[in-house]
Amino acid sequence: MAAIAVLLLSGMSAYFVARRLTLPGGRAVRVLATLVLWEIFEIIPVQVLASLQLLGVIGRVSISKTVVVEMVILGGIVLWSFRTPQPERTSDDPHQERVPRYVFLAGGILACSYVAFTVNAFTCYPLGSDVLIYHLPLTTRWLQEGSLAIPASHAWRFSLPGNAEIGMMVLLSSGWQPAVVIASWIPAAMVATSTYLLGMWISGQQRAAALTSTLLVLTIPMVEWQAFSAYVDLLATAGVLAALALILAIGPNGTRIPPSIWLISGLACGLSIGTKPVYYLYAALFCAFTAGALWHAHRAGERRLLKALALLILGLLIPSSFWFVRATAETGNPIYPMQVKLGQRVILPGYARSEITEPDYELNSVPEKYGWFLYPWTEWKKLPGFLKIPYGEGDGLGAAFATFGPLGMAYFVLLAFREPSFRARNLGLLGAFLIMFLCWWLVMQRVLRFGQVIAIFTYVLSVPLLASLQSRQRRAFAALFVLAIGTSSLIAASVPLHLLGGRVRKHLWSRAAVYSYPNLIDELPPGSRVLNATGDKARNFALIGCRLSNKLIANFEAPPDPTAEALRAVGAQYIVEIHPGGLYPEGSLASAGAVLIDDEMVPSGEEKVRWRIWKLQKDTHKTSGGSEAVQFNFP
Amino acid sequence: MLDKGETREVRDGNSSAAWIAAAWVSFLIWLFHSFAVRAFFDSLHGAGKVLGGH
Repeated sequence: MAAIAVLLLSGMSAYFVARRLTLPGGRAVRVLATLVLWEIFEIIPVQVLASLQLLGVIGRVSISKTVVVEMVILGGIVLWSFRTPQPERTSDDPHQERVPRYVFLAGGILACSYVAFTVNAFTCYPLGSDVLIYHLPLTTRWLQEGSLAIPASHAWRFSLPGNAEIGMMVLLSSGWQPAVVIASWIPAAMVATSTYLLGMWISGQQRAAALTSTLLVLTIPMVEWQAFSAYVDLLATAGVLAALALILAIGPNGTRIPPSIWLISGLACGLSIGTKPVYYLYAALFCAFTAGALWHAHRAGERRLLKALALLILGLLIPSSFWFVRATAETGNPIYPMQVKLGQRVILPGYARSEITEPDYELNSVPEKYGWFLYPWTEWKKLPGFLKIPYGEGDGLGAAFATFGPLGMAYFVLLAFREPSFRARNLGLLGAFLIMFLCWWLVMQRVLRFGQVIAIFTYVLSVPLLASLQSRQRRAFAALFVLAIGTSSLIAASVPLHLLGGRVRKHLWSRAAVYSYPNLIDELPPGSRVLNATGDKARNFALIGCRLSNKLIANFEAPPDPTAEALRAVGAQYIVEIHPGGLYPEGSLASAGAVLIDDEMVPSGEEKVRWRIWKLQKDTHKTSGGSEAVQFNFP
Repeated sequence: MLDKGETREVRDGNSSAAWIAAAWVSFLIWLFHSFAVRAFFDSLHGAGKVLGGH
C-alpha cells in the first residue's frame, strides 16, 4: 500500500509541476519532462530520509516515512500551482502527419512480445544474474536495516550509487516481489519518448520516421529484457537520452530554451550519474554538448547564461550528490568504489576497473575484439544459457539493428559529407558518435550493455535513411520493417513463453521452486543471518527467503576460510552449501563447530542438486546467538 | 529529356532502391547467421524436451 502511495504521489507531483512549467516543443516534451520529474519525486524523498538517517536525525529510512514526505511535497506543489498561472499553451505539435498502417502493425507485433514478457514477469520472481547477485540483495538490505549506508565490508557491489535501486526498494517493500520490474517501466518510457523526440528533431519533424526509430529501439533485446528485469542500465541510459532530447527538441528554429528545460535536462542527466559510474563518461559528453548550447544562450545576455548554467548544475547535483557525499563520508573517495590512480599511485582508494569487470568479459559475446564489427549479424554468445537464445539484459541487438543500424550509419556518413544543408550539425553528431564509440572501445571494456546508449544513438542517426526509404521504397520498406520487427519479437517472446510453459507444466509457482532452493530457507526464523557458501553468487537473493526476512551474507562478503572466528566476525548463523561446488572444503564447517541441519536433493531443471544447510552452535556464536528482530516495511 | 529536378528525383530513386536492397541483404545475412535464429528453431524442435528447464 505504501509502495503504491509513493508511486501515485510522486506521479501526481510530477504531473502538477509539468503542467505549470513553460515547456515549448509539443506534447512529447511535456510527457518526457513529466517522466523525468516522476523519477525525481520518487527518488529524492528517500535520499533526504537516508541523509537524515546517516546524520543520526532519524533512526530508520522507511517507506511509510517516504509516503509522509511525498504528501508534504505534493501539498506544497498543489499550493504552488494555485498561485502559479498555467502557462499559455501554444500549439507546438507539428502538423499530424499520417502514420502508415504498417507502423501500427509492427507496433502491435512488438506489443504482443511485451505482453508475453509481462505475463511471465508477474507469474514468476525477478530474474537476471546481476539482479539476483546484488541489485535486489542490496535493496532488501536497505529495507531491513532502514539505512542506505555503505556496508562495513565496503564490497563494491553494495557501494555503487543506487538511484535505480531506490525505485526497486519502494516496490519491493510491497512484499510482492515480481513488482520490482515496474521500476524499469518509467525508464523504458523515457527511452521511447527521448528516441521519438530525437527522431523528430533529426528528421525535421517527420513523425512516421520518428515513430519507426522508436519501435526499432524497443526491439533491441537488451532494452526489452531490462524493461522486465531489475537492471539499472535502463534508467542510466534513459537519463542521458532524456537530457539530450529535451534540449534538442526545444532548441531548433532558434527557439529560446526556457529555464525549466535547463533544470529538467540537468535532473535527467543527474539521474544517470547517480545510477552507474559508467555513465559519468556519457554525462561528461552531455556537459560538453551543453557548454556549446549555453554558448548560444550567451547571445541572449550574460544574466540568462548564468541562470541557465546555475539551473543545469543544480539539476545535475540534485539526484546525484547524495551518493558522492555518502561515499566521501564513509570511504574518503567521492566516487567509491571506483579507484582513482595516477600512474602507479593510488590517489583515491577503491577497486580497479579490472576488479569490477573482468578484462576479458567481452569474450562472452565475441571470439576476439574485432568480432564486434560482425556481432549485429552473429549475436554469438559463449554461454547462451536458457534455450541457448543469446539474448538477455546484456546481450543482443536484434534483427532490426542488423537490418537498419549499420546501413543507417553509412547513409548518415554520406549525408554528412555530401549534403551541404545541416553539414555542421551532422558532422558534429558523427563526431559525438565517434567519441562515444571510442570511449566504449577503450574505457568501457567493450561490454555491450555499457554501449546501449550508442546502439540507440545509431538508430537516431539512421532516421534519415528510414525517412528516405519510407517515402521512396514504401512497399519494400514496409515488408522489411514488419519482418525485422516480427522476427525479433518472435524470438524474444519465445523465451518468456517457454519459461511460462515450463512453470505451468511442472507447477513451479513457489519462490523455492522458481529459484530451486530447499524450503527450509523460507522457514528460518526472521532475522536469521544466512551465509551464501553455495559457490554460486546468483543464489544471493534466493537465500533471503520468500518473506525477505533472512539477513544475507553475500558470497562476496563470505570469509575465505570458514574458521569459527571468521564466521563469528561476519555474524553467520546458517551456512548454505551446494555440493559439489560449495565455497568451503568438505568437513571444514563441521570443524568450525557447525551442525548439519538439512541435506537434500532439490530439483533444478531436469536435474537434482544437493543442498546442505549448516547451523552454527550458539556457544560458537555469541554475538548473534538469537535471531535479531528484523523490522520490515512490508507484511 | 529530364530537367535538373527530375534527374535528381531519378537519381534518388535509384539510390534508395540500392539502399533498400542492401537492407534486405543485411537482414538475410542476419537471418542465416544469427545464433538467435538457430537457437529459436532448435528450441521449437525440442520444445517438449526443454519446457520446464530453467
